[in-house]
Amino acid sequence: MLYFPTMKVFQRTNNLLILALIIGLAFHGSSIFFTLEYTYDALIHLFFASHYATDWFEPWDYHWYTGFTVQSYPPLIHQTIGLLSKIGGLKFGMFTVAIIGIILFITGAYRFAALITGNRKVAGYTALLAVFSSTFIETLHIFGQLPSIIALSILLHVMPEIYLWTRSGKYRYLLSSLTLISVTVTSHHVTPIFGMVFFIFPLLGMAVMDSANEQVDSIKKVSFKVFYKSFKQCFWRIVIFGGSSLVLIITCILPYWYNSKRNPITQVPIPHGSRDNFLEVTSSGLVFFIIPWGILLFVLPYLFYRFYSKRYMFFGMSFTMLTILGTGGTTPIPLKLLGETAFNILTLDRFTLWATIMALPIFGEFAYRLVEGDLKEKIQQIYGRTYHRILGGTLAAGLLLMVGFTMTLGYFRPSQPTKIKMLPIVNFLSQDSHDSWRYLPLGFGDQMAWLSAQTMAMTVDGNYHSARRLPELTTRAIERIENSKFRGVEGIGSLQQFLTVPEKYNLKYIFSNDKFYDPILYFCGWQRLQQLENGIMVWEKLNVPPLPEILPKEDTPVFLNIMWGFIPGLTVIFAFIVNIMMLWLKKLKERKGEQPSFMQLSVAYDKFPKKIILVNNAWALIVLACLGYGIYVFYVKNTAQLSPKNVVESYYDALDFKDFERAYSYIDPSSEVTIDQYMLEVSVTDGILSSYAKLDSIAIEIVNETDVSAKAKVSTRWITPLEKLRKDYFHELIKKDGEWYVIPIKKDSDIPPDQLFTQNTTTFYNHGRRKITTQQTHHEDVLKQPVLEILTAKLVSYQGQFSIIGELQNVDDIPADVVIKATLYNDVDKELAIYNAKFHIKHKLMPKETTPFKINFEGIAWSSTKDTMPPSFDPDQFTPIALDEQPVKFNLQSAGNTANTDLYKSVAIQNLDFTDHGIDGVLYNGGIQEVTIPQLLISYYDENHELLWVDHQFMPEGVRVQRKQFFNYKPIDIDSLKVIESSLENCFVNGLPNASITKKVFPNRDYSHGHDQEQPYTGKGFSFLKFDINSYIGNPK
Amino acid sequence: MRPIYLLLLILLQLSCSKEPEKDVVKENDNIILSTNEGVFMAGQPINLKFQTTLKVNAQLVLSNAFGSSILLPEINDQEITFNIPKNFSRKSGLCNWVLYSNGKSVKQGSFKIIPQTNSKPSLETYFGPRSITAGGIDFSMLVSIATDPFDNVYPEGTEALIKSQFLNTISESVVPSKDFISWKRIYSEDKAGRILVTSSVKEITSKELTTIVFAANAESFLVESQRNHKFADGNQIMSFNTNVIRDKFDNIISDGTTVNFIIENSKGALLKTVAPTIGGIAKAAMLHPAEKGEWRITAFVTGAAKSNTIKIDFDTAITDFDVKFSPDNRKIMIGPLKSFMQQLVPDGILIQLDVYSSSGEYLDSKKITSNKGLGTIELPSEYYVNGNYHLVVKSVGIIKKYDVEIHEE
Repeated sequence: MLYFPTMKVFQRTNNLLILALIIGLAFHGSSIFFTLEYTYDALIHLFFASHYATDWFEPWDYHWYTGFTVQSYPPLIHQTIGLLSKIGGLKFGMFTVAIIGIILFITGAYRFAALITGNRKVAGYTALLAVFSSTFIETLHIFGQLPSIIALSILLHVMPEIYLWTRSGKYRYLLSSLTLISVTVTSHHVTPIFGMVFFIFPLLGMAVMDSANEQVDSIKKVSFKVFYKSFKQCFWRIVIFGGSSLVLIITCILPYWYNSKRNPITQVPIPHGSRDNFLEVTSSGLVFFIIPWGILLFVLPYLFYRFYSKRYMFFGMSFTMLTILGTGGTTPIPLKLLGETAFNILTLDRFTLWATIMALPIFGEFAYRLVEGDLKEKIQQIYGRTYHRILGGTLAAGLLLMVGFTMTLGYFRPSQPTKIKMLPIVNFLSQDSHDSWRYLPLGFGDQMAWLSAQTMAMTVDGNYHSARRLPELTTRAIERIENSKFRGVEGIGSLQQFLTVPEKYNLKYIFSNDKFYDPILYFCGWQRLQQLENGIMVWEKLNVPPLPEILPKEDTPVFLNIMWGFIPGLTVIFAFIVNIMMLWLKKLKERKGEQPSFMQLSVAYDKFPKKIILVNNAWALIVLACLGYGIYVFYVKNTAQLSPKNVVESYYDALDFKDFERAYSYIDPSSEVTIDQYMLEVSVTDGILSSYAKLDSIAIEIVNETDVSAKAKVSTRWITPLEKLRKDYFHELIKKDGEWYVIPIKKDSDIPPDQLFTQNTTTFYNHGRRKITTQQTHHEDVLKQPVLEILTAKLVSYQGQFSIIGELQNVDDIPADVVIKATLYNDVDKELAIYNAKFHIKHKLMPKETTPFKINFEGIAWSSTKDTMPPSFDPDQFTPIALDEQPVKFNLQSAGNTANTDLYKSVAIQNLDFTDHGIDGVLYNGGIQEVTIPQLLISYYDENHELLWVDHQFMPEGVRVQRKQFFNYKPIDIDSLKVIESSLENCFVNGLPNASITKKVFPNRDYSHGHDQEQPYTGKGFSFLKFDINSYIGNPK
Repeated sequence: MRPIYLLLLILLQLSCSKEPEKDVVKENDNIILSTNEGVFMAGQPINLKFQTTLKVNAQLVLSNAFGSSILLPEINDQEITFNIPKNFSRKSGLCNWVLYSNGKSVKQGSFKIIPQTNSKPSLETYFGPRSITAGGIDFSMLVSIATDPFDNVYPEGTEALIKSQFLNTISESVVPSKDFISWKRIYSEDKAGRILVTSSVKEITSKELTTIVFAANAESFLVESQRNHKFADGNQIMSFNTNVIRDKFDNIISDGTTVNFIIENSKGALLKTVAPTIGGIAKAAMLHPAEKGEWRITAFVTGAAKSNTIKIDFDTAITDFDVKFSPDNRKIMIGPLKSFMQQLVPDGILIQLDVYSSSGEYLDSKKITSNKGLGTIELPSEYYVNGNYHLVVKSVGIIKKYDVEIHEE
């Protein structure tokens, strides 16, 4: 039995409500166990809850973003989960809160409908429809916005109380309103603030309208004058309520406001689907418009008709506003209404959510009238019984279809990677003091929050973007580095900065759940450590110092922390006492009560206007037509072989999505390539383009088009983890039986010389620690840092950028992992910039191996948020650091650490041809590993063999064992290059001066050896070139 | 905030020092240290005793190199006893004390604690770096520290016996400690290998410690090549290897040393293949070139050593090939490509056809690879209208030119 403050008077509990609760709990209560963990937000709330479970009063959390404050989000839900976690763990807490949310929502919808319509039957229908409302399903099962659901549900519960306070002026209603409002505030701050505007203002309007109605005979006679008179009567009640709620909104979450004042959100806005033009970005339209509205779309005219009746007029205005704001960027109106700032900060899907919730009572009324009211009679009278049944059946089927569609959306189009077993990662982090460094998950989706909730270790990333603190993150429109590939070059750029200078944030471990990031990790100098039993690859970076014992934090006044810890719980206790306990007591004393005043205001459902039936029928047809058209357009878009351009586009689309069977269907059927042959050819190609790239744009130029043939020049741009690649392809196209086909390009028929061959290689193994101990590694097990020697180092400026270039050698007898860091100074030794070598270096060197290197000084893009972002991203855009002064000196710090992986050196330069269009070269892989991404490092020298510049080129395709790969390199023009400083004076290796190493390890170095390995070349500004090869192996065997 | 505390503290001090001076003199005279020893052994209980006739409120401030502490006495009749706590009595070195009576210092003195050398010492030894280079210039250093059970360092001049073994020799030396430590540089010798060291003080010996002596920098070496035949067929592996590369002391250079093989071909291009050494030998592989020519190979251990230069000639494997045209000249069959024994070449020989208009304007290039010795190129009518064309066929360095008219059959 359920008790409600104003429903105590009901003699019988409403059967439909009981039914709704049973179905709701059975349906949602069981399905959340399969959906909630895959939602966008639920795990974030779980993480916050774990924070409170660990330390209730401490607002500072070190787990994310090098520390942030949890006072940036209202705490009630998190604290409740945290408290419940003490009983059955965090997930128990989360599911319990979700179930409470479901109950609150269904009962809230019931009470809201009872208030609006004054009809218990209608309210019962509303409760039942609320269970199946697609907007609720989406919010709970896809978005997982628990605080939002609970806050909204309580807001629905508070509305009758506010109404009764306004009408009657009895202070107990004010008290119950305010206690409930404070619960809402501590659950979710946005809901009460906007709820005030969109729910409570219209409600107050309706209350005033009702009291005006009482003074005249019928609602039709309510004139503005009468209304104004009633308004004056209610004025002070409204002011008292409004004033006190404002006070509550401020005081209940005062620490939140304090924090937002102190850390205002100065971030580049993150693109959100709800701001898209739904007609252009149909996926956003589906998620943020079609799904939440669902079946309601078909009854829109009825909704507007009812909402614009005099009594609901204010709701009508609010509903209209919400509907329009919810359409995002489809029309320019929301942008104009909200203004640029609010538009870019708010996610507009909440407006649609509120609109659809607001529509529920009217929809309930519609359902009631259709099932057993006047609408049923009218329809039967006009169209006959069968039509009514079909209509009812269709609507019910539509409703269920939307439920099914929404529930399974996450299954068919998963928004999250498959569930990752966290235990191996948690164990890894707690072993061997791995948590003395920060870690970074890649490709975890929102599950990263669940990982953070379970481990003591910290990450530089985080999943609550409003709390982002690092400039690398706030200046870019990326919510997480973890999913940076979905943010294109901007995201990759941000990730690269963290990977290149990991010691800045003591970042040592990366858990990669997405192969896509592997090449960038390798080329930034990271190495694979091990694959955990859950399939996650652990990457580590050497030479990163552990976190200091004491980390900085922002202190908040103690009284705020105490408020934050106590108030949310207290609001619940107060609300419980006032709204439920008191009622129980009362109920014990008195047997009967009176109906709340709004229950007397129900309208008689007897005259359903015929016009509305016609209009709504017409509207439903229009909606159906639009849907049909949408499906048709979708179909036409996917018919590929209509024109030469279409077929090429579709072919590349298929290749991009690795849908090779579809790609094969565009291949000329008369070419003698079987599907098996085609698939085989595809499967043996490896490389950055086929394994790590995403097609970004494609330009197709059709030439020589005749009726039956055409040639296409396809210029493609691919986003890869490393950089943007451009590649041109030429295709011949042919038309057969009215359809266009691509003529397959003949594959290289080269076969390697040997079937079986042997190779001896030198491999290395490092025990890590030989002595099994929980203490620090025994000093005997600490290896010597390999000694490096910097051979040349220069500060150069080229095309407005400053770079440090040079060459170094591993002069030790063991392989070395090389980290090199440069600092620029002006003429008075003021430090200007620091950066590390990214991928213009071979990070792993065998003994006596040399590598050129180049350090570019990268700034943080759009480092001032006031800078306007470029309208479109130039992928190859590099943000050089803005230097106020001229750098004239530099300092180089290099460090070697023993390496034992990624030491494959068997790729040879088999041939070089110097042609007008650059250097045509051939690589040959003579070893026993398949090289996925070969990288060329090209050093430029002047006539005196002095190093001038270092360039690089990633090759789009890999080199398989005993096979060749062709490349073309166009030497650049470095006429304008200026050498500012060339000195080895401030170069250090493992903390020792470079000169001392030269003297001791290589006293009689023969510099002519280097010169003899340089390729003479007449170039612009240089005389010699040297090629070095760095090979990334995707799957080491 | 801080200066205020300081001020308060000063005020407190001032207010405390208002006692009449007379008393101090009196107390000073009346408190006599009755403990006579000035030197104690670490770990031995120490009691500082004072005799006095007065009733005093005595406190002892004790300080040594590790810190200071205030002690309260045990008062027995006229004897005041301070029991020095373990954390002071176990640390060797000088220990100063100041006796306060009624808040004023009345006496001060010091005593000395010496390490407990009569019990077994424990030994800390460090040896590093873990690897050095042969040749007698590079060294690892052994550091040995003998301590008593309370971690006090043994007195200066404590002798440590340091032994080191390298190859067949074991050397010993006695090193007295200086500034707490005994240390010795162990220089490498001319041979590569492993040096084992140990140290001992009294009967206690350290564990075995080791450093690896790697060979010094490489010296000039020789390079040679192996191949199956001398023909430039572009499809045979040839390998280059060095002889055993050694340093000037005849040690084989350490495994993994990178050797760059630089190949200069007839066109002046520098080709490159890299191999690490195993047992002093580096072995790298390349494919035969596809065209006839001469390769000059030199190998480098960059900065340290260079090999001789060897010359290798490659003969043409394919002397000529046929090019056949279909009657309409739209299908061009190249081959059979026959190698040096008139066998069909292995698949994958690059064949290129450049198409020019009759007026010599470049139109298009088509590249294919041979299959079963043959290559077929089609010029479909969709792209090539009937007319006269100039065709250039290139393969294995052979260029053939044709002027043809292509037309419908």
